[in-house]
This record gives sequence, structure tokens and C-alpha cells, in this order.
Amino acid sequence: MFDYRSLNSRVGEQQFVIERQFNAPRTLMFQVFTQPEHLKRWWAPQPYTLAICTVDLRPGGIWHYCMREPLGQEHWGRSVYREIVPPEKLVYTTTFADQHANPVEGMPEHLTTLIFTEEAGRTRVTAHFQFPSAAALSVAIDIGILQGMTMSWNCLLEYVQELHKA
Amino acid sequence: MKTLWTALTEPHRVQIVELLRDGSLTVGQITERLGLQQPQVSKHLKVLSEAAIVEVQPQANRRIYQLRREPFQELETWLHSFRRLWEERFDHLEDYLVELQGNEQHTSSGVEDNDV
Repeated sequence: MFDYRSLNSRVGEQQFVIERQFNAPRTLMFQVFTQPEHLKRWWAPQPYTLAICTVDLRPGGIWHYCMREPLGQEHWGRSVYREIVPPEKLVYTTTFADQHANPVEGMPEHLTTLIFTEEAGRTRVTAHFQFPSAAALSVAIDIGILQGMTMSWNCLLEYVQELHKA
Repeated sequence: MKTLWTALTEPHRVQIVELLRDGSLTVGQITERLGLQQPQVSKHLKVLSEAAIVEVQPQANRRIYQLRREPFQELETWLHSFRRLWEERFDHLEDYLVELQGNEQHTSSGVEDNDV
């Protein structure tokens, strides 16, 4: 039996944290998160590549990127910086976008806060994610963000339509 | 047509979902607990039904609303994938940092030992 309550105790928080310690100084860590030539080397999940990446690193500035599949399918993402405190902290909102960095309509944003903490020459990166209040289920956008990683955008739309018919 | 996610951008609809988490309810019960007008609640329930978030079960002359399981399972799957995406990203980053600092470590050997 599916337990709604166990799920909601987590979902109800509408936020969660992922963290890891890296063997690199904090200044370098901040650079690899904010410089396109670095981001291109690690940001995109398999089998994607970060084909295009532009960063306007200032509050209100846009970080726009394109993740490309081997077969050429593209997903564009757009983040807007809210707070920049090198090399300690980076806050931005993220949503799907088109190639001109216009947000995809109907896709809520999520807020990411990255904290870089020095630990004996290493750096702990804490990524804190906050989802919209509808998050009780922003249920599915969110499905959107995720499924977009594993299937093409068109497949996703079909999938959502199917969910509606069901 | 309302998409699954825009169905939940409305605070009252989120409240309805939260109420139904604790068990199925009639329109009347939902109306009472939210302190809204019944037509308003019916409208929200219609949107939630169309988005396949709730389903209705007729019982005698009453209509009982309950949550469908699927959207929640989708959410759980999504949260899992989102986390996995970031874990994978961090894995890449670890490898990249080794590569990036590898060159420096040739000129200043023992960096890794000294900083622990």
C-alpha cells in the first residue's frame, strides 16, 4: 500500500539539501560553478553535453545554457542570479527556457542556494533546493524537469497529456 | 486544458490536496473545512479531477473525493531523479577537479597529503 504520509512528510518541506565535500580550494569551487569554460566540462548529465553556456554573473544576470543529446535534441535552461557572494554563496532561480532565454510558460521555477564552506583546504558544497509553494505537488512540473532529463521534451508533453486523459 | 502543474498553483487546491491526504471527503466536508462557498469548491475539484490528481467515488447519493496515487508516485520518482541528477553532477565535478588540479600537483607535489 502506498503511504501518502511518508511521502508528504518529505514533500511538505518543499525543499531539500544535497551536499558533498570536494578536494579543492573554495575559490576554485566558486569558479567551476560560475565560469562557462568550467561548467561545460561537468554540468550536463550523461549523455548530454553543455553545448552552449553564457553567464552574466551579477544579481539579476542570466545564466543561459543548452544541454544537447547525442542525437541533437536540445533542452535549454535559464537561471537568474539573486545573490552572489564570492566565494561563499550563490543563489539563483531556474526554469526551462527557449534558445532566447525566455522562460517556458507554465513551468514554475525552483530556487537553488549553493553554500561553499572551507574545511581544511577542502570545500563542502551544500546545494539547497526550494520548490514553489504549490510544491505539495508542484508535482508535476517537476515531473517535467526530471523527465526532461531522460526523455525528449515532446515525449514529456505527450506523457503529461496522457496523464490528463487517464 | 489545465496542466497537471498549473492545477496546483492555486492555494485552495493545494489545501484540498492536503485535506484529502488524511482520507476521502465529500464536497460538503471540504467546503466546511476550507470555509469556502460550495460552487467554488466544486470548481476546484473539477480542475483537480481533470488533472487526474483526485478521483470521485459515488456512494449512494454522495460523491466522495479521494487522491489518486499516481501523481504522488510520480513526485517521489521525480524527487529521486532530481537527487540522482545532482549526485551524478557532483561525480563529474569530482573527476573534473582531479583533472584540473592534476597539472598543478605535478609542480607542487603532495598537495593532497598536506591539506588533510
